[in-house]
Amino acid sequence: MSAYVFHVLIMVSIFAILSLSLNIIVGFAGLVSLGHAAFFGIGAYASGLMMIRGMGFVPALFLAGLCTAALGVALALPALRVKDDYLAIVTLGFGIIVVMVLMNLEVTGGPDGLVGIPPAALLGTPLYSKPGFLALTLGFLLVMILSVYALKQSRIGRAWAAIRDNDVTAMFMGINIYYYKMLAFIVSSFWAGLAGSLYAHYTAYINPQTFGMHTSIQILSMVVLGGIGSITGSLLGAALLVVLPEILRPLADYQDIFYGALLVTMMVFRPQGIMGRVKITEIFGKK
Amino acid sequence: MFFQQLVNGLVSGCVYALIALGYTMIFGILGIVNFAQGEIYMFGAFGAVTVYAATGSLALAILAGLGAACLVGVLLERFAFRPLRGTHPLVPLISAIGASILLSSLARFFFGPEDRPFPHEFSAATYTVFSAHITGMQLTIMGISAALMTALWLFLTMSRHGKAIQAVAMDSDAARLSGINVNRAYVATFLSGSALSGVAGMLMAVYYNATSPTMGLLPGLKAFSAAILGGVGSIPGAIIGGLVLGVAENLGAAYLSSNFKDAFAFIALVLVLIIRPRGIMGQRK
Amino acid sequence: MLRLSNIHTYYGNIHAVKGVSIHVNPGEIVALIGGNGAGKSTILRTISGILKPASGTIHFGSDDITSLGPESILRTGIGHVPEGRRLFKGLTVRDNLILGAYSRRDRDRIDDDIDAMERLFPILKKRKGQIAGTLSGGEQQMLAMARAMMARPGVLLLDEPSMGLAPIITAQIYAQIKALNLGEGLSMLLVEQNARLALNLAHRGYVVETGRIVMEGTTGELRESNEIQRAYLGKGYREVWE
Repeated sequence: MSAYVFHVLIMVSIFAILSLSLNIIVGFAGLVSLGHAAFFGIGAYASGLMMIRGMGFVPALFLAGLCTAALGVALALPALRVKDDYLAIVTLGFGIIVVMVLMNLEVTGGPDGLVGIPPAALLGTPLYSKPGFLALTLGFLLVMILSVYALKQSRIGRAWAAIRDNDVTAMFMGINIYYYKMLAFIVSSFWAGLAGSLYAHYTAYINPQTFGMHTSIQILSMVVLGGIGSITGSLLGAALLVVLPEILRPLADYQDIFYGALLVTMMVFRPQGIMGRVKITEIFGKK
Repeated sequence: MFFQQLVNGLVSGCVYALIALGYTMIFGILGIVNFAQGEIYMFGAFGAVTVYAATGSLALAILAGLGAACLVGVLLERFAFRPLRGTHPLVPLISAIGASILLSSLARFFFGPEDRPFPHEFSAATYTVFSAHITGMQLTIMGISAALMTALWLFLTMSRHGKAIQAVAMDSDAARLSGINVNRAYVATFLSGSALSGVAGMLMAVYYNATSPTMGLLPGLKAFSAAILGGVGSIPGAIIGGLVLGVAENLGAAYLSSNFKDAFAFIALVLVLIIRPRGIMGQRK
Repeated sequence: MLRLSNIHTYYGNIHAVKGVSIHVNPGEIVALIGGNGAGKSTILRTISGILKPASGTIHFGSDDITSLGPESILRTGIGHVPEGRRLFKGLTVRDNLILGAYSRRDRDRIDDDIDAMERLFPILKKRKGQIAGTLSGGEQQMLAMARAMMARPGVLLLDEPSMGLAPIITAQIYAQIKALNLGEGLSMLLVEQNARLALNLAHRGYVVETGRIVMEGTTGELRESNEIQRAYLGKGYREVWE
């Protein structure tokens, strides 16, 4: 396989981690986030900065995840006081503020971004080869799929489902909805941070534009296309929306027309997404 | 300095308020947020700029701008929102986001990514009030905004059709039983909201002498923040929210940091939501 | 005058009305009685077009109104006072009345009709400029009826006019309903959980159970029926009646 194919596969697996992580917020807990790329960016910058300052890859990776999760808490504290459209705008505003901060801080390199991020290294050996890095991202993806699946089946997953279907009823059932919504943000932002770290060490160069609204919308499109709440759907959505633009590269200028039309037509004709099942149809169909 | 920033803030506040009125009316009647309101604003500006460049007539340009904004608004209602009535709130939300991306990318496709000037010369006269310099254009913006807000208020509270729109917002089934055609009320709401946004777009296109496919993004988001700030669904709230936001943003940029000018709107929003989740004028349901 | 033939209506996935055939003659008050969730309100909502029947036909006079929307049905002459009044609570009493006449083309006569409603319900004249949401329950019911009357209907569908009202207010409302029937010759289809009230007022009645008509007759016949006495009128009723 050519290096190009490996590159595409690596991007697919990084975006699969991102779309799965957003699916925790949107699909499992029924919340909405339009600033998900900001978490991706925080993870990338945190990990990049720590490694540039000499930290090892593995601690930097996990610290980046934790930093991002901490920021997830910082966002969720005010954001979870509101619902639906309000939450959408708060998360969107958060995304814009994060990009603005990255643009204006000296330590993040301003609009030029971070250059010369060291590559990922395991047991002291840097991973220069694409197949090696793909194995690493796929490994993370696999761990994530298993843990997200377990989470979905657990008590926590059932609490999320209850909140998603009707948060008032969930509250009367004795579910601490604030706690569970917060948990969704924490888990989700942690994984998005890890994805950011992987991305930073893969590309070695990051700039604020990568983590703006466009990417947030792209990740959301993956979740929606695959099917809100479906794990396989998120994976499929990520694969399609990374591979399709590569195939349609000559049409790159029209990419956003495609995303926009995709979101509208999916909502109008098949809100449950490609992989949506009957149960999700009911939830997202007529109320 | 302070008065100057106050005036500048009121001018952008007027524009935010015009767009916020569209958000708040549509939310009031349909319970959905039209995330594409900023794109309606942008299409209003492009309609006017394109026709002005072709004909040189300001009157035709204004008509074209209004027409473009209203057309986009009505199409949105018909194809992106009407089929989704009664679904989970996430569904129209995502549809609206999609519509917003679609519209701005279509504009880039048709008009190109570069800024387009609005080559009309307006009076360069300035007036000095309390050491603040106010240009003729700024006065025009404030005057037109105030007139439109008054007209909207009169329409909604005095006219039969305006009251019918209010009735649909309060109880759509009861409105239908009173013989009010709710679809017509929705279209009328989208039309008036779009017209206001279209006017805002044209005013800004002249004010900054620039029109671009992404020009609607930030004003749209800020106007939405303004609508929330004032209490979504409240007409006076949208106006107050818009003005407060415009002033806060300009003062913040002048006295705190101009790099973060665009962030103040969202910081203000987050603060308001923490202190008063229903907004300044918001009421309990 | 108003005739439903074999109407089936679904409410979401629930088959709420299962083959109902009823009719209302000119000048007649017809009561639909039955327990909670029997499908009475669904029948009214189907007539006025808020819900679409899955099958069956609805005729009003010689018109087939089965497939019309609520605005057109109102224009043919069927007014609906919905359950729970459903006023435009943020608007004034007068605005509510004006909107009641929204479908009419003879605008110049609306003011006369508002006067007529204020004669019929004098309290509404006093409350004219008040916001509808601040009225008492009884006043709200009167306003809801007056609002529906503003469209000059030939048949009025009344859904639970006594709901949540004190007995003395209910008696007043029922007297006004009777006056509308006698004075204006208005036909009515009345849905009521309080069977005793409904059977005292109406000329004929239908008993609805789980979406079907299980019994029909003049109110005298219904009152005499053992089943009705047991199920809807209660033991105490017999003592009061005899």
